Amino acid sequence: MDPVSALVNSELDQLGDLTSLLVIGDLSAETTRDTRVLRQDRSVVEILQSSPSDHDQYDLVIYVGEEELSGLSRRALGRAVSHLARHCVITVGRVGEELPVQMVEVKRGILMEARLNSYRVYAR
Amino acid sequence: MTLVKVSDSALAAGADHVDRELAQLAMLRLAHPRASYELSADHSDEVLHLAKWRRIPIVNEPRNETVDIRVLWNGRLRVSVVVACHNYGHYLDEAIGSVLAQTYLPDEIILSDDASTDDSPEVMRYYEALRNDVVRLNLNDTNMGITAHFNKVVRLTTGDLIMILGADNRLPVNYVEEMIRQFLCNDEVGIAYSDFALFGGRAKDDFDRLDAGFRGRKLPHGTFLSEFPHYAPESKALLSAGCNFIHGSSMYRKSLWERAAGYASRETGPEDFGLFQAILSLGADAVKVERTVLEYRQHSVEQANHQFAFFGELQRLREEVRALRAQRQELTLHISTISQSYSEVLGSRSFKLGRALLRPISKLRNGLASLRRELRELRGWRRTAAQRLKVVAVVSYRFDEDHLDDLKRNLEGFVDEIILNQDEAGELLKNEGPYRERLVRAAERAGADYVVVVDPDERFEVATARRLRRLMWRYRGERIFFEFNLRELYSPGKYRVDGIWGEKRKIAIFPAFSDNVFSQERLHSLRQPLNPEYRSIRTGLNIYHLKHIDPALRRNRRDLYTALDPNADLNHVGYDYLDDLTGMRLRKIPFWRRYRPQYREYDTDEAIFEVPRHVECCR
Repeated sequence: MDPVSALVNSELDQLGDLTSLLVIGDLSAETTRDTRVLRQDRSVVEILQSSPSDHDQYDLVIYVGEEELSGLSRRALGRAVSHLARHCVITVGRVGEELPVQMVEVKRGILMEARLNSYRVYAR
Repeated sequence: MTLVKVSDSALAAGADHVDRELAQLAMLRLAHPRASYELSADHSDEVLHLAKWRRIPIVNEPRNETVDIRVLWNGRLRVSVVVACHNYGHYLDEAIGSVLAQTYLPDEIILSDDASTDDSPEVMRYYEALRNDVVRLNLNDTNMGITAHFNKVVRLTTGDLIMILGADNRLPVNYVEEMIRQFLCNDEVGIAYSDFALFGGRAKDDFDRLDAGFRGRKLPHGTFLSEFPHYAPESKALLSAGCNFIHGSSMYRKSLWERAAGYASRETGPEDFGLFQAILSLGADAVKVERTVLEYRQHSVEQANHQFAFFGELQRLREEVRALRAQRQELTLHISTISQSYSEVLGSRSFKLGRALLRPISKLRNGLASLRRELRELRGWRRTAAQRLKVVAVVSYRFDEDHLDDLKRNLEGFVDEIILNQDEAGELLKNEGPYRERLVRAAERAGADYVVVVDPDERFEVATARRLRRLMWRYRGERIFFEFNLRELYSPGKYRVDGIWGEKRKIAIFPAFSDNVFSQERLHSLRQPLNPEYRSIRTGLNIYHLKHIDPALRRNRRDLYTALDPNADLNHVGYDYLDDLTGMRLRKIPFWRRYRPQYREYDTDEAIFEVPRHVECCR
């Protein structure tokens, strides 16, 4: 299992009863196969272009940032992610390019073996 | 409708400046709904995405006239954020990073160090070089202490609104924006405060130390939320009583800081608490911001909030001591008044007359007390004498040896000696009368005044020990049986009361006279002597029989007696009733009539229900 999947799996265990999950970016389907979470995958562009009318749609939102985003897009995506997540957000990306998520940061760390090497967990 | 746009200078300065202007636009729309500010669609997709997720209306309408948001905002509130540090260099990155990531970039960020001896100044210089558009430094040469340090750095700020962030804490990205909004919409607001999220190694300890009414929810990974009250008449009383719920990183107007004469001395409590009390006493309002929190790291008992927790406790104790001293003075005054009145009463003529009249009554009372004492002594002597009567219990067992320890404990207190006989040959079932007589005679030889005949699975109620000794002494030398209620237990705490079950009696104790005559029946023989001069004394006490608790044992008992007496010659009602539950009613044993020790599952060899060999059954 790749380091990002291992991280997400470990967090899923700790976060407890979650029923819906939005994944933005590339996260292996195997990661959530054994869970009972209803998973949806969408790209960054889809999220940025979608309508902000719905909120708190997903218990957990996971963002795995591979592509380089401009400062404005990161801010827009941070706002979108905070808007869509009911309980928690996990972000994984390069150090210094964290999404500004408008929730309480409950954990942060470095994934030394991963291509994208920092992660943060937020909750509300 | 007024069509607006992000200023060119913000677009050139970067995403955080653009985000700030969009935040300002959102706040202006809230403060001036009639102006109907809307964003021109003439921006890049990225700006429009950000505006859309901020829920700012975008108008796709070609117009020549658009106003810069910067122009609209000009002259309005400016924000200064101070990151204050003393030897917290290892936390500084997180604190400064959280301020720079704000959705509303402060107009100035002052990094202020109070003569740290670690690498704090170097970290601050790095950020000053990185973000010289917004970051300024204040590095103290000598340590000034918190109060003087804070007052100095607030004097250096140029903003209208001030917020001081401890270098070991951090902010969620919407903290500054949510705070400013309160001041823009209401000029009366002097302080905006929030809940905090405790995190770090000592977070749980500090959460537990919080006033119970201030504790909120627990988030994952050991983060704990406070739940402070809104500023209202009830909560003002809490503040006055010293229960602070406005934390040190709340935002306030600088003009009020000036009028309140700055942060207060720490001699009477936390410096920020003193400042905020002074600001509120000037008539300013405080408002709680709901959609953000301060991320408040709890890592060490050296932190200022810990010191003040102890300080607060000390203050409370001092106040208690003061209150107790005042009470003592009051009591001393009362005592002297009462003493004076007492002396006056003693010296009065009416008191002396009353005393002379009461003297004979007093003598009578003393006489009665003396008689009572003598009576008590006499009763004590009777008790001692009763204890001199020797009571011997005789117990026969065969396959129910597991009961014996509990039976011995049950008999403690009124039985002096127990004669145990293992009935290996099954005498009790083939030759009961003569067998029982042999046991009673053995008790006589052991010097018994009274004999207790009891089976291993029977228990006396707890009051027996106390009451029986008294009865034995009372009827000493007389030919009497002591009769008990026999209670068949169907569970460890309930006995059967329907029909004959509620009427069963048992004679278990009688005096040991050498001329006692006993039944010689070989089954169901009476245990007590047959001499006609005997009379029965109802003790009202209970004996509990345990065998019926286990349904299997009940059935086995029925089968055994049926085998021994198939024609019911010795018991005219037969033996089926032993396992007949028809119409069964159970009654709970009251607490005061319980037996000891408590019932447990006993290991009874089922061979106890086998008909012994060489027994000739009744035909």
